[in-house]
Amino acid sequence: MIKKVCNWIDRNIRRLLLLGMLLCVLGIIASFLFPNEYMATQGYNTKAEQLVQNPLTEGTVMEYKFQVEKRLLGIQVKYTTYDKKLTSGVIHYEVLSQTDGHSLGSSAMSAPNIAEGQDVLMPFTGFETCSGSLILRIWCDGVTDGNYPGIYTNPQIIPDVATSINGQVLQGNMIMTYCYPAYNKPLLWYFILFLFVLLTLFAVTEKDAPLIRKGKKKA
Amino acid sequence: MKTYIKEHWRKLLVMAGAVILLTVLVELLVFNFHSLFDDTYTTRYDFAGGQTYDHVKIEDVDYSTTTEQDGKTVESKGLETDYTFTFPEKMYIKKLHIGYQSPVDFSITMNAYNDNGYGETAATEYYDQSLAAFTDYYNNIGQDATGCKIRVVNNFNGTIDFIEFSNELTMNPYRMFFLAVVFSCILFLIFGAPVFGRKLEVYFAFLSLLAGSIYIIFGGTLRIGWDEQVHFDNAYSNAYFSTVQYTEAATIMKEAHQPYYNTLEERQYIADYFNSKDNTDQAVLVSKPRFIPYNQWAYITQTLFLAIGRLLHLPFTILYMFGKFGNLLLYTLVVALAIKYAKVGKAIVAVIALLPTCLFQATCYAYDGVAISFTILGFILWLNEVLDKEKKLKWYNVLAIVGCFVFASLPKAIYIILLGLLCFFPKTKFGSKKQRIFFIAGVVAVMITIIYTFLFPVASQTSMGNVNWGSDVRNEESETGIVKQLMMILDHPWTYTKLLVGTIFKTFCDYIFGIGANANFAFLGAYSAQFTYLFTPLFLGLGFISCQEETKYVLDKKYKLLIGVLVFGVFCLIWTALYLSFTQIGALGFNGVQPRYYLPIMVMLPFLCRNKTLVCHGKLQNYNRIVMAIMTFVVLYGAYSIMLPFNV
Repeated sequence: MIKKVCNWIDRNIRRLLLLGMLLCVLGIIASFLFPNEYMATQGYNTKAEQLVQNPLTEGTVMEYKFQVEKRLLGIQVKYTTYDKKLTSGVIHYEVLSQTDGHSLGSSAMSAPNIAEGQDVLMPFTGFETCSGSLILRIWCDGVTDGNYPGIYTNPQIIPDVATSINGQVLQGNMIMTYCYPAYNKPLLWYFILFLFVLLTLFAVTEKDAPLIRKGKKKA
Repeated sequence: MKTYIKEHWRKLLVMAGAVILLTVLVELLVFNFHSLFDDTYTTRYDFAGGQTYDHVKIEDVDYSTTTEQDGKTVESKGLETDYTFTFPEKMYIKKLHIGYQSPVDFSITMNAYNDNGYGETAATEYYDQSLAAFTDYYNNIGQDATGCKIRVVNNFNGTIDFIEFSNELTMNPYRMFFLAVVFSCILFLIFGAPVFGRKLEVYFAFLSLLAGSIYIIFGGTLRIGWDEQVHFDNAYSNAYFSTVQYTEAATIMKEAHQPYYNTLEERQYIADYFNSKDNTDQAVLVSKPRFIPYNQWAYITQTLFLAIGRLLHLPFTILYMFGKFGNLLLYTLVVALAIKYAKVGKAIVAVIALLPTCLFQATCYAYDGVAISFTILGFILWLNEVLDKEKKLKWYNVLAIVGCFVFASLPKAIYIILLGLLCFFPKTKFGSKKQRIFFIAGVVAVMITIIYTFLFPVASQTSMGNVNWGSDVRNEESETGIVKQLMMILDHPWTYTKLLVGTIFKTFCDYIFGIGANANFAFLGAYSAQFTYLFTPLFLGLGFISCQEETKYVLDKKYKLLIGVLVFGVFCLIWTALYLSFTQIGALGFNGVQPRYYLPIMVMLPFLCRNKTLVCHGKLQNYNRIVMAIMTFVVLYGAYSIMLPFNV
């Protein structure tokens, strides 16, 4: 069986290589036509100096007013666990439009997944387009053991950005990283490489070359 | 193989029995000599309730020392507690065990007193750290003592619960595994003569897998390899599709914060500690791209084994070692294929691949194993083609050679220069001139595609005028930057050429024959420098002396020159890469170049020396057997002297 397959490949090697090269060329074209969307992060306020921990206790709502030109895929916020292992609680977040106050979407995540000092990604999956003047609202509930998570802020003052707790504006802002969509062509390089490899192989094949693999003769 | 086992099963069974018997005997009679022939005992002194003992003196010493730092006098305060024991009679202490509670890491030093043979009392010092996360300290002593002083340093707000001396009989599973491997190899070397002729790959695979397994098991969860935490993170994260589950244990590993151990007991409780922190329900979830970047394909078997291990719900310590085993398996398989297909110089390939550093790198989280093994296989396949000038090139051979060199250079692109060897195939290997030109053009295009991965970022940043781009963050001491450094070289080409060539020649012997390249276990330490006296004649012998059977295959001078030029080119690229990324701008020296970077091309050097003048008229089988006996000793020596002490 293996002998048969090898002989078939040997017989058709030029066609197979040509087919491979054609697929590579198609892959190169497809890479340009359909680039891959991925999440690119851009630190906005990331100085981890003079940090303040703001507890997200039951009933506390933290708001972050900001403006973005590009569509946001999510946001990363620096959380604290107060050096404890969180065992319960759900963190909710919602994005609203500053202009008319309507909700663009909301989601939630489990508090025990958070580690101390972790920049936690809060994806806006399934949200309406998040761009322009926005409000990010964060709160936590369902904590059963009194160990609440918190959010770090630093004293950085940034134009057009404001952080508040229960409506009271803070002298500083959350540690923030914005996540935008970006595009790349992850397979393009491979297609080019394979194309050249196949070209090299094609160069050493000959039309109507005699079969190479004879296989072992049975006794 | 099946037939061999069928025919020789009795012999194999007897040998297995002999190995087990010898292992148990040596473990008992040599390593447990004092437990068998002196008194076995465990003496515990409890201090938790403030107990006192007649022959134990406890003394607290608060001290403060002053040191000069940057022209300022800095005072540091410390706390020492001395426990001085005077034993009623001389006794053999095998192990020291201390129970403690402490909120901070602290150190314990033991001075064991004994007669030095001249009638005077001499002290031997044993030092180790105790970690706040645990409550037991162990240290191997292994000497007679008439008394001892145990000094506990800076155990602030902590307690010592008990101190225990023991001389118990212990059958150490790690040492027994090592002994079993040693005896198996000896028996193979004695009774497996036919294998060393034309089937050397069998012995290579046997030794590589067994010795490699020893390296993996003895290394355990210790941080042993160069930048191993980074390589582990790459392998681990690729084992997940788009969201990585970092358990606490995995996070400890990727941040290189794993606790250190140096005794069997410490290893056990640290394993329990890791396994208890591998709860996937509490794992931190991190998103990642779905595609494996081109420079991380070298971790593919490590990644695969980690993924399988996760599916099998292996305990974390086992999973960590299992991932390394994937690396070893690929390395062994690729090199065994190279030995199998080598028309000439099978022993050279086996020796280079069995160099302790090569094997060590194949048993760590690293990409060196892939770079070394695939370069070896690619070179051997190329050599076979060159030695058989009349045989036309076949597409599958070309695919194998190109595939090997490309895969080897994915993690470290500079090795792609070796693909240039393909441009110099004899004309007789091609059907026509046109075919040859197309072939060379294809090879050059593949080389450029790989070179593009490291040249493009430099070129684009230079063209954008970003002169500060490309500094290596690991080198905090000095100002570095690829673009600035490159401009410096281009401004002073002659000065740089002199510096580069001078440095390559100055370091050549040390980097080829020295232990830095050949017998280096990274953070665990290197072999004794005296091994250079073994490697030098071994390499020179392998290079210059060949067996009668191999003399029909000697490379033409033209090809020797070509290999020499390409090897020198790779040397230049290695030094230049580190000069650009890791060396202070405009420095008259190089930083960051390690001898191990030469390993992927080491296999080519002995073939440059092969000739028809110096010929060994003995049997190839015996020649290979002697060489393999030496390498067995070399490979297992490191396991015993460097790695085993962490596990007894």
